[in-house]
Amino acid sequence: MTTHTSTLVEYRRKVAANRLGLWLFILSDTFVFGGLYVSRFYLLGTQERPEVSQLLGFVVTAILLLSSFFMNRAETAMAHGDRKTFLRGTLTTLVLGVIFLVGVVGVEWQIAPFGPGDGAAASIFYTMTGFHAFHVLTGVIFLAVVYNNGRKGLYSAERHWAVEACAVYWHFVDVVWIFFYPALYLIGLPVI
Amino acid sequence: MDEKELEEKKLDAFRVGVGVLILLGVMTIGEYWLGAVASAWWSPLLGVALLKAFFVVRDYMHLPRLFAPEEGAHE
Repeated sequence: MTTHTSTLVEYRRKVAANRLGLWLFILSDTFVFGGLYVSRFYLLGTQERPEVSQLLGFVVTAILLLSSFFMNRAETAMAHGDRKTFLRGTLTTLVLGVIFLVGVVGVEWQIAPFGPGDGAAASIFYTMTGFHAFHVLTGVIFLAVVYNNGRKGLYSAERHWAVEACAVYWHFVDVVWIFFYPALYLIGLPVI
Repeated sequence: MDEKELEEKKLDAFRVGVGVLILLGVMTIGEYWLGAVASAWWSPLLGVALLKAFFVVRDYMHLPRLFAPEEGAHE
């Protein structure tokens, strides 16, 4: 076995361990988001929801789903040594993430006819969207780091664990929103 | 693996990504419509969310890689 091959085997072993660690982190974070999700139904049931813009909710959801597509494209490209598509996909994901943040925190929070202290529906709405937005912000920072390292040529088809980790984290944030979107925008009738 | 084969594999992976995006888009539009006309139907809405999450976890997050023997995820 050549030195290069043995180093690559070692790297892959490390990646397998890192992957397990990342998924354990995701599992633990799922419990937190799960707690918030259950709280929403405990507080409001299935007949009530906060009075929010359903159209805006649909638009930000579409943006986040689209960002996941570009993240997948970026990761796939890097896994096949296509650096140009990887950089373009990562940057697009980052921009879409920022647009999502602006849509939720910059627009939805401003136009909502209630504040965080105006009852259970308002409180759970701000807690769920705020906690999720913080994760999106973390993901955007992660994307910026990966994009910058990618520009410096630090990743290759064989070695790009950071890209995979960033992609998995980003898709996780997307999965959380897949459940939050109907819970906050679609199920029940507006109460406040 | 020669360059042509690698390019073909990349295109296949891209196609999966596009397929999942189309599925997610269709389901989200259906979800929006359902929420607008029958907001009390929480169980179908939850079902759609579960289905969407399944595709993202399987095809975008590549959960099966976690159970793959050692690396070789992209091979």
